[in-house]
Amino acid sequence: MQNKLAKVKKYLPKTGAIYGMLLFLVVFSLINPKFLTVSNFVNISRQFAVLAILTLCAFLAILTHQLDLSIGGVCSFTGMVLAVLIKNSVPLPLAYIIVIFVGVAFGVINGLLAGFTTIPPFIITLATMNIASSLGLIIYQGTIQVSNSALSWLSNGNLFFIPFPIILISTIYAIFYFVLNKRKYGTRLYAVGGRVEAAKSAGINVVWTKISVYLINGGLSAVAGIIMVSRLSSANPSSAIGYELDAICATVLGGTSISGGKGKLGGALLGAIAIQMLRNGMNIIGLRIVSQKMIIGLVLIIILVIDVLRKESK
Amino acid sequence: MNKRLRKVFTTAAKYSYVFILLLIVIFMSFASDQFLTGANLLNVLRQASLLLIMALGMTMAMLLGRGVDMSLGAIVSISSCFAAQFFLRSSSMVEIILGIVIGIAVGAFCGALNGIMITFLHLPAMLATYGLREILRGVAYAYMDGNVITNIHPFISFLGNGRIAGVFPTPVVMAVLFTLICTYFLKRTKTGRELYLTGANPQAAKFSGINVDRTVILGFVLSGVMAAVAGILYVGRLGAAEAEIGNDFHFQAVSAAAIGGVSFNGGSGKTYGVIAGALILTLLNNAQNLLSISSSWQGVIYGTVIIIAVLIDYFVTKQQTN
Repeated sequence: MQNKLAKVKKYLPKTGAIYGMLLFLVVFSLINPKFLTVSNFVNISRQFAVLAILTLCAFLAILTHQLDLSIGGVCSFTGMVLAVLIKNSVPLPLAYIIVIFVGVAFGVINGLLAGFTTIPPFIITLATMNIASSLGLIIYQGTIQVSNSALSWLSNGNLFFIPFPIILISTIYAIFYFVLNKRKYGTRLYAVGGRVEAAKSAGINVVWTKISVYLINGGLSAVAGIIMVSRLSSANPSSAIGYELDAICATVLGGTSISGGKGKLGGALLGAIAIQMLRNGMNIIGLRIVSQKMIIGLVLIIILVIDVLRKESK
Repeated sequence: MNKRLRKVFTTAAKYSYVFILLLIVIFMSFASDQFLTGANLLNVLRQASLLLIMALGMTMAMLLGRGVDMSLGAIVSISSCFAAQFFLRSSSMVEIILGIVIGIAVGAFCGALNGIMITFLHLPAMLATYGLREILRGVAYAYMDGNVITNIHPFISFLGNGRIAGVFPTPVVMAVLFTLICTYFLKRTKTGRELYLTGANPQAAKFSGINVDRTVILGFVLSGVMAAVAGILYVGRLGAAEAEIGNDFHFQAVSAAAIGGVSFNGGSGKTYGVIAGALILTLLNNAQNLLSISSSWQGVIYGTVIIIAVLIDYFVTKQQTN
């Protein structure tokens, strides 16, 4: 009996997200039949891109025992920058590059502060999150409409009959899966998050590894910002506020330990899908934004408790 | 740089908030002719008093070295909304006192929830308080259901806006009172010093027989209580109670504490620094208004200020441990 339980427990870490997904699927389909339609799922899959990218950012940060709260703010701000650039007839490819540069610039600030001082990353990214959102407000205190067919194709178009966002997410995740599991950089990330002292003795430059995470996050958040503007055909300074919480929740839901060093990218993706379904379901049954945030907060706490219990049972 | 000069710089940096405060005051006196008016300075003092009370609460939590209390603003909201039911114009004094007690009890309870999550459930403080923040907001919004309570009893308005003996603004008096209480508590009582030690050196604290879990819970309870007090005063000041209040109060409180030299790693920070921090933030806000700087800049200003503050604190700590 002990043996069977141990066997089942071995698979538990990753299945947390799957259970969550199944639970939401069942609950929401019961509450509102509109949830279980193909068109709804296609819709979800197009919306999913932003959260998927930001979850990847959160995953990289949490894996290295850090937190990056600025991803939502940078996403919104880079969206605003993109909108302004497009309004000023900057050619799209150049606009994309500029916007990604802006994102990476935030990553540089985060990275330098987090890497070279003992200031908790939480505080640093909390501050940069506020700065980024505020900069977005300074650009314009409302919504900027953007109509550009090439841009909106990124979210609404298909490539070989598959919605492009799916292809984009698959590509990005495939690249990172490869790097995380088959490249030294990936091993370094896991080592830095798990056992810093062992990493240092192995000659890994912990500081630069930690900084690199913020640089990547900055760039990825900018990509998420581009996708968000593409999806909404508009930019708003608070469009991605709160996404960082969803992303962290998704990451931990997917089995990544909050103390770093443990977790699979695939799990984070599943977690993101679960959170996306949860959000979509809550929208369909008409829950207010405040109530939705409350549910996400509750889910976060429950997931953290499970994470702790899982750690202590080892 | 020779050792003596470095020591001078370090001490100067440690009290940098004094210089910054003086700098802002001097600058504003020239930049705006409305700055040095009685009405404006009174307004600044009132506003700073409320922020100071919240920042003192945040300090209690930060001293423990586990993280900041992200739920502070939400606690302000929920405790003030629950209490405001008893603060109507038609309420009797008994009901008002009951309301104050309930408000503070709600704050203490929320603080206890934070403390329990952090100690017994071993959750990381930042995320646990972040999660509770969203939960409390949801509860507050559901409870108020979009309503705003506006017919507030004059006594509560007096707490937020009045003057004691016709001279001293009530919130300022209360802020001074709380600062004195907190300073005495932290410096002279056993529990207060246990709080410091728990943050400064948790291992040593445990070995000296301190109940670390209980101390951590106490710290967060105190944070919740201060948030509730600030909430009640806000109802008096604004003449209304609504669920929306305090969206970024946690950030302001953290900034004020950080400017005042309260370390994020716990165990160090003085209350008079927090006074300076609260004043600096409020003055920056005031400067924004008087100089007609758009409110959109607030995030940039606060964010930059907190980064500068923690950088200064980092360098000071580094010099001191060398």
